[in-house]
Amino acid sequence: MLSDKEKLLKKLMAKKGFGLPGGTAQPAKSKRSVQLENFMRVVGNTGRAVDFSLPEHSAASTVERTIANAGGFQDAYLDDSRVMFVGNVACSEIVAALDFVPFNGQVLSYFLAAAGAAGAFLDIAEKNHLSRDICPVVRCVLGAAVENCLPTPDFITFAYFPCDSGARMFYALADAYDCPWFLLDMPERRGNAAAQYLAQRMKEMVARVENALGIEAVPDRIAAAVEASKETMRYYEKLISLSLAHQVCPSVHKFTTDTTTHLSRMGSPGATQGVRLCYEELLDSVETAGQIRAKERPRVIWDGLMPFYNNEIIRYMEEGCGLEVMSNLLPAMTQNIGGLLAEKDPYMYMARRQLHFAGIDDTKFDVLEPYGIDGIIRFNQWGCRRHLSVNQIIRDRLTQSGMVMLDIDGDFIDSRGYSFSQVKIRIDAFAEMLKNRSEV
Amino acid sequence: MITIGIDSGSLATKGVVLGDDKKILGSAIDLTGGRSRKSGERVYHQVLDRAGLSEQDVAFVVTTGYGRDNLPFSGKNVTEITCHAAGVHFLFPDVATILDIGGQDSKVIRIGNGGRVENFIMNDKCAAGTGRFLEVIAKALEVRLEDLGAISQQTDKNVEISSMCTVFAETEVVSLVAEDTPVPEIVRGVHNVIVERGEILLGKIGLVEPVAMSGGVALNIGVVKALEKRLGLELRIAENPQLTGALGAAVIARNLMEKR
Repeated sequence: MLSDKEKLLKKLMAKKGFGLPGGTAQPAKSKRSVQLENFMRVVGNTGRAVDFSLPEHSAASTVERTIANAGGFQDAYLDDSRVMFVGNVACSEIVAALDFVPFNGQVLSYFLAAAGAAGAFLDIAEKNHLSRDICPVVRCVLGAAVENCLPTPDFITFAYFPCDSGARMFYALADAYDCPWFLLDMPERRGNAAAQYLAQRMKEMVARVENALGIEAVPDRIAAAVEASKETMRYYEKLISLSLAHQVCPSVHKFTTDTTTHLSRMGSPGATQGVRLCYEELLDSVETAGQIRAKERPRVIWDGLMPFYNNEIIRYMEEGCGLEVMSNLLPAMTQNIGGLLAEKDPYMYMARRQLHFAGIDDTKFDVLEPYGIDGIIRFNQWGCRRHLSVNQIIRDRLTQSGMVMLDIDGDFIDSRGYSFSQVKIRIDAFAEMLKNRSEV
Repeated sequence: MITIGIDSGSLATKGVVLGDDKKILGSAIDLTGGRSRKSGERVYHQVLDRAGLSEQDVAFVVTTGYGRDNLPFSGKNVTEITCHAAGVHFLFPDVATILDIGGQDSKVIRIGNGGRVENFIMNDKCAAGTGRFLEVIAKALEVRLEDLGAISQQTDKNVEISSMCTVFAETEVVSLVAEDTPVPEIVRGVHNVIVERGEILLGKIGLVEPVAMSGGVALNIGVVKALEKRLGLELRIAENPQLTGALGAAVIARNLMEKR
């Protein structure tokens, strides 16, 4: 008799591209409470797991606690929850309307890295033949799946955006859990035709969920989720207006974790609460400063994700090199929110909201002038083809406009793929160059 | 005004003393070894001795290189990118692009007015195409590092080294030796790997002539000739290209003192 863990392992390893050929074990059925115990056991072994939702962690800021709550990870382990595995492109308003708890493995891996706990799952993945050159998110999530630490999903939705390795991971999970799934084909560009196409795919997704689980998507629930999502976007709009007017940006580290978390909860009150708090924190800092700040230091966009296990690079850039650093997600959010909020059709709204992040590589160019940006720092996930393939295109485009770019290779989840000493020389030289350029 | 530049590199530590009339009064190169602070201090005193000066004669010291933060006599530390630009500009004021291949990294620097860095790019996390790569290969071939250039000129033929990785390339070279492939042909093949890397790096920033080459690998006539042939241009190379970073540091030290 195979244990739940053995069944999962066999099924995962049988998936092409992720391991050894395996057998045809039956799908695992497990109590989520057991899976949560498994999860806490693995994470607890690291000794650094932090549950920000607990009251004793009052040192964590309100925003951090809210992010953890907005992630909804603990809710996903309740046996009566309806759980959907989602990627960063999740059509989260539908997820909320259908009363699912979204479980975003990518965001989970950020939290695990931040808590110093990702290594435990990366090791499990490696011992199960997932080599180090595979995306660390994939390794982290599949490592957790192999140990039966993920809540059994009721449905899985994913996209080939931002990359196909994530989609492959979800295919493997769908097989392992024998779970119904839907591939949301998301266009890589914006525009009305793309929105109409995506809206149609979203309707198909709803039909697929209804059909697979025997539930009904009540239009009122979708309308309510869309309204909640619009409310979140209104706070993003206020945040951006404030940021532009006062030339200040939220902390890159917080904003990146925050935004990626909220985007998989759009349509839920948790996301609105999180973005509102983010806005209020920025408002506080503006009111404390008292006036619009003149630009005093070279200002750069941090483009890409960041090492979640420490904030060493960005802190060094700000405190050691005297640079102002802003997140690339902020420019991505500046795209015509007013037009988006005016959209009446719920599916077209959801599609257009989702397409905010299509062509994210282009959005940075729109804010170079309004924010007085002097350069871009691109953090490339080691070996990530999506990151590396656009590097030279961005560099060339920046060079044409007299702008400079520094690219740093590292790993945002796996701390073994990062060395500060290797990064420091590049950042020092970049900062020197920016300061010398601004002196002339 | 006497200024000194010390370049504490990964393989070698270099020092230059710049005199009143902007002439180099003394220079030194020594292996860095495991203790960059010690080698930095040693080179600092060597250049003073060679210039016949004492510490009291020195107006300012700028340090650069990987060990630049760790030298007690440093008045200011500046990255080697800025220093190479200043050093090359001092020697060749018209140069627009520098290809610097050092011990453990390679970089391309675009220079603007007054030797200012306009743009730069460094190699990624890989030793292929750097001085370390040549060092490993020289060891595998049982020849001296400084002889590689001359050895490569003994033939017009070369074998293709397919491995991009230093470790795998070493294995490939050992296999070629076992197959009795002539050493000069292997060395030319190895040089071609460096040339390809350099060309790719230059392409990322955009090659604007005139181009200078700096760093220890510029001492290798085989690499220089292969690069010139591939790029179809003549590289500007200092008499001692290893000293360019230290020279730039001394120039920056001088500029800083003049501004005070």
